Amino acid sequence: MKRRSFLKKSSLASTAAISIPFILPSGRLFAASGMRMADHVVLVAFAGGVRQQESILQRYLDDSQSYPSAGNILYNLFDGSAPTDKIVYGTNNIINGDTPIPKILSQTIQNQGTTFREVNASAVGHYAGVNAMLTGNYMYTQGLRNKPTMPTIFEYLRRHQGEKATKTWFVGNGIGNSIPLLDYSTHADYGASYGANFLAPTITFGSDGEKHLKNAKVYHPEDELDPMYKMKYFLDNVWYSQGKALPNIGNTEEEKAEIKQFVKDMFDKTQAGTIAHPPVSDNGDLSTIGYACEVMQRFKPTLTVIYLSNVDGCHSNFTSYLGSLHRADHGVGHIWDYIQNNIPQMANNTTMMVIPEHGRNLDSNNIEDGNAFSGYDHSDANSRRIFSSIVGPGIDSNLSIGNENNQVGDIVNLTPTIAEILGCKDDVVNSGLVASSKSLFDLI
Amino acid sequence: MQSSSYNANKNKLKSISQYISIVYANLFQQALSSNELVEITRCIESIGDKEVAHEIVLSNFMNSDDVIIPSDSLMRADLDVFLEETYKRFFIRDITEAEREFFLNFFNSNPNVSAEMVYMSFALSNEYQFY
Repeated sequence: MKRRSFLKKSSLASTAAISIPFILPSGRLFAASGMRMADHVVLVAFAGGVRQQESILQRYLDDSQSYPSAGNILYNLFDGSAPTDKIVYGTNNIINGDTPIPKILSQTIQNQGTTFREVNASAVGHYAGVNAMLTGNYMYTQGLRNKPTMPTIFEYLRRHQGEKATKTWFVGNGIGNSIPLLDYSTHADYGASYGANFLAPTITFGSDGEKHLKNAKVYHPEDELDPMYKMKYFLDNVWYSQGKALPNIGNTEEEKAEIKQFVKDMFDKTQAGTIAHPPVSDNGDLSTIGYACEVMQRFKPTLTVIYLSNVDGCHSNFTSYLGSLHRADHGVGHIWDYIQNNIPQMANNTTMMVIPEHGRNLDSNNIEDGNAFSGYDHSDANSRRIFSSIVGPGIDSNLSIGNENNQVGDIVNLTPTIAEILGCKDDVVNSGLVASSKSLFDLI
Repeated sequence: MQSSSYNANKNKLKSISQYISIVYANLFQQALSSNELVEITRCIESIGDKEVAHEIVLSNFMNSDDVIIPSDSLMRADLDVFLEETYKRFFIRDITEAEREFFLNFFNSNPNVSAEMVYMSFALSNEYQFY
């Protein structure tokens, strides 16, 4: 098994590495705790609440609407034939949704990597689910509109691996569901100074941003910004002697300048129609993915988390849910294809993980859409069922773990998994702040 | 609140919408419409590094013809008055002698510093985030 041979090699190497401390960019004296399986991780939160039945189980309308049409609508992720009857999830041709989006990947993610077919996700709210995904904890007592109380994987990476702020990105489809709060926690030992850069590109580069951000002045770095910052820093120094500190994720001046330039360039690219969007980009998730690809192209982040959410329409519009699922799969195919073919620094050196934050109910609610399909909420035991796909260097190909009758893995295993890939699992586990010390690899 | 007391007893962080409403009023001498307030608040929420977000929004304001800033010649004509008014306008307090000395020296050694740059630095400062 590839990961076993990796562990064997890494344990030999770590004997030497542990004894050789080095100075991190942050200035902290640090001893390497583990070898990396890859230098980059892209976590796609295939979020919004995804039923196992329409995703990995490939039952399409057969299970949900009592209509005898089964098949795979996520054919970049999974092997399996697409449905042939009552196609509603594609793009519009003669009737709405009748044309499935062509497959992007020649080999599915399932075929290239490892799939955990039946994983537990105990938090069945969007914010709580993504929170559990990023912190490795179920924070049952935590309410919405509060930052995580336990450190996020961004903070572990930045503190223990010395990553710069622009090496960790959280790109979200919108700012609802408290999602922007997940860039860092309030934990006393971690917190803002180890946070990620958050971006919700559909707003930054959407109509609001066009109106209020696009026309921003670009000040000259030496002639204007430098004296401006000197005055600001003087004012801040005076304030710190008496006042309270502000949370700051610690982008350096150079990093801030890079981000501002990135924002400006994205407005230009948006206007020119050259954003790295997937071939079909007709919803918020796919638009977000295009900008996420631009973030990866520009910053080559060590960790990029991409939060998708359009499938949440399932509460009241099952047809739109199917379309959003199909598009999320199209987006995942595009991300993987884009990394391998357009970002040489990340190609063959990136692990991608795809995982919903929770599932959806077994039984429908009473809301029917235009196709007379019933909607599904997320509150019962079926909502705790999700899958997880992993692909990248050192990950076994075409390996399937667990099944409907054999649940293997939990969403809280995700943070240790990312930490293991990026070589800081010991630090994360030894912090004592994660619910499980096991990565998904430990469960194979 | 006594405007003359040091830091004017500011200990509460402004919300994004409070910050934007107040800075808009300071720069344009009029209230921001509620629609624009919601839109700008969303823009700031969409960018994680708030210093970066504020700088982009403020520099967007500075590109407007309606922004009200003293001319550079007026600023240079009486730096003491400009500083006193700027501290009152943004920090709602009097300038201290140490601050006055810093700025007068800074203006002397940086003759190209404009009123707009001074306003940007005050609007981006941490003290301005509190009330």
